[in-house]
Amino acid sequence: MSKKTLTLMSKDKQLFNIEEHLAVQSVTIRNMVKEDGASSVIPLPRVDSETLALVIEYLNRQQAPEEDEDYVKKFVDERGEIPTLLELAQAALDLDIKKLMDAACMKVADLIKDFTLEEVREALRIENDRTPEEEKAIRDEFQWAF
Amino acid sequence: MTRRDSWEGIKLKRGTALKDATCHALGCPHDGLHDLSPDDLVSRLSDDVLVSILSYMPIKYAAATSILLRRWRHVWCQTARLDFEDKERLNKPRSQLHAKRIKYINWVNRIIRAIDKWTEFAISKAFQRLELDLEGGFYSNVNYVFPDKIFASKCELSLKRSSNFNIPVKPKATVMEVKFLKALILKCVDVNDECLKKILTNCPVLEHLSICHSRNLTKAKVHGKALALKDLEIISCDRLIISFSCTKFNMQVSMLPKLLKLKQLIIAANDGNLFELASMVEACPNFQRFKVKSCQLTLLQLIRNLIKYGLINKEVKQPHQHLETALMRETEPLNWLYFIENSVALKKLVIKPSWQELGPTTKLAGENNATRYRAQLEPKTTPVGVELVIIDYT
Repeated sequence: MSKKTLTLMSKDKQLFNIEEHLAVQSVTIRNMVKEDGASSVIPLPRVDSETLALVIEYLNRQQAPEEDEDYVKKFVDERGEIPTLLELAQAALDLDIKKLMDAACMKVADLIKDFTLEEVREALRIENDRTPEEEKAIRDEFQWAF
Repeated sequence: MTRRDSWEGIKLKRGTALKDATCHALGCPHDGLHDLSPDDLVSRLSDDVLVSILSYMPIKYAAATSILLRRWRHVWCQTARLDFEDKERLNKPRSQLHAKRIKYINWVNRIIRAIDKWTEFAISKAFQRLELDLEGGFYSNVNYVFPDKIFASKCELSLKRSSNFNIPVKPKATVMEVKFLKALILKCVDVNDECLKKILTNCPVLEHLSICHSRNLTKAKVHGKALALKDLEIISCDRLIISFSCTKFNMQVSMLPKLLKLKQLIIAANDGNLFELASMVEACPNFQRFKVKSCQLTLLQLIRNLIKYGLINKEVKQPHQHLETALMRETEPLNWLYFIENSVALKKLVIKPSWQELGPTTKLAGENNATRYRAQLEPKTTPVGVELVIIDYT
């Protein structure tokens, strides 16, 4: 009996094949397979192809269970770019792959915890959407945090 | 009202909860899917990812993120893990530590509003492990008193958040028993006898209890519903008379089996009062590790006590089979020989000599002491099958 293969489609319509028994590490995919057999292509409209390629690389790992912890740490360590890690964390959340999500989030926390607020804004590419008055109000309420 | 509705005028378009994510994965159409620039990474992130990231940071930093974006205003409040670490504040010379510690407590207070709420908070959040380490307080005169009122029957725990906190108030949680707390570690927190009793009665799944530097624990009665207790550690409780309610153990035989699970007992006896220790140990027949850390008690005094109460005497009919480890400070190897000879059930002996207390007469370096210990003790331990471990600080 040949191993069943699933096809996943990224946001930008790229197709990725993965063996079903590996894909079902994702709880989201597992539930879909259970519900409708998932014979056709599974669309993942929130995951871009680069991120999906990473997720599939992770799902395809050949680690013994006891080495898994170390593997997932190393896996996210090698992808030290914050935007990449955030995309990965979001994809892992959507696909419900808990270990990957936790490791990616922990890595981001580790990277940004020594940043100044300005540096965090820069790293996450966000602009301050508050007025100076609002900012002052928050600084007053959470004095202890600043 | 959904969480999304409560965000104030945010430009966020994507669903955030996991069910939404699944919905997208299934290919449901969703508005705003294509109008985001590739750089708009953060608005694509769901709160769950942010919460998870913040959970790995000390709360001080997590809270500071509330200023970054409107949407993040309250995200940090949802973190599943609270880390009150503040190295800047607590890495101070001892002379300043007291003042810093007060400030630190005030700081945490402002997070959870009142000191007792720390614990209530932990309980209401169904934590499995609660560790209150106020070690700095060892040098001050007042200890924080464990808020045993949280165990009051039908105690209504609610985290009332003041209105300027701007979070919807959650429904009150009614807690009768603390059904999920497995480990409780209290350092420099005052736990009195009554309070200990309440803890043991109300935490049926408590497995590990550690009480360190409690100033008002005098008669620790371990009984009642402490069904799951596996480790009990009581350290440096100056006024403790180790009674463990021995009369109760003897009188209420039905209680004895309930301590079958207690496998490790650690006692630091400052005043050498080991009275009734034997009865207590008898009540806990499954000890695997019995550790005595003694500061003032000499080994000979301890041995006299232990022999007196039948713990290590050869003549005892049922020697304590599970007495495995004695970890003590003792400077004279010859005293250990006496101990080894009298301990029939001893399987492993860990000696942690305290070099700084050796005194002026012993001018040997630490290394030599370890060698000396080994040379004198090994010929005695090896034949009787006692494993000898000497912890060397050098």
